[in-house]
Amino acid sequence: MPTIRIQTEAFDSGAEMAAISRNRTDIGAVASFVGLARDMNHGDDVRAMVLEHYPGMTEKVLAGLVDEARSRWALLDVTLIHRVGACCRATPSCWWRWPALTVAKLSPPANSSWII
Amino acid sequence: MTLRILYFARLLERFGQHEETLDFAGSTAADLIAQLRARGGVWAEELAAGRAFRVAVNQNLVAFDAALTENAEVAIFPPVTGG
Repeated sequence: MPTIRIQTEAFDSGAEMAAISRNRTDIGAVASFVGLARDMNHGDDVRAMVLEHYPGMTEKVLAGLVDEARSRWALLDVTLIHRVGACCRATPSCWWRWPALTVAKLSPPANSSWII
Repeated sequence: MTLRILYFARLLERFGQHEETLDFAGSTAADLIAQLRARGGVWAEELAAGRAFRVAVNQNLVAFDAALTENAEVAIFPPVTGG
């Protein structure tokens, strides 16, 4: 079953990747896509980023992305996590390293699996 | 017909409201935009032809010629960007 989460909290993408294949021996690979908030945008300095969302439509769009991925590849599983709210703050130690978007743990044909 | 209109991001900031209930006499999304634009000021400015914004009806993106129905939830927002 795909997992889709929309959350304000930061998350550990490494832990998510580990969790996807825990207690499973049928997954041969895990792929991931992790989006990070940056400190610039078209030449402007960015000190903070807030992701606003449209509850209801966000869930629908993310579910559509998972459906599309599953129709394109034979995925064993998918985890899609999208942060909303304040995704970065201007503290030097952790500025732009908070994942804003992780997508899925999927599993293509024979025996690989993905985290997008 | 009665519509529930939601504004997001820059439009929310410029219009100073997140949502409103509107009595609507037209039939399409384009008619609704025209009605809002007729308020003048920031409405005319932000919803002017050539400004980038999208319309969703009942949480699905639609084209401007989409028909609106009684009690529809219509969201208007700038294009989503990332990267």
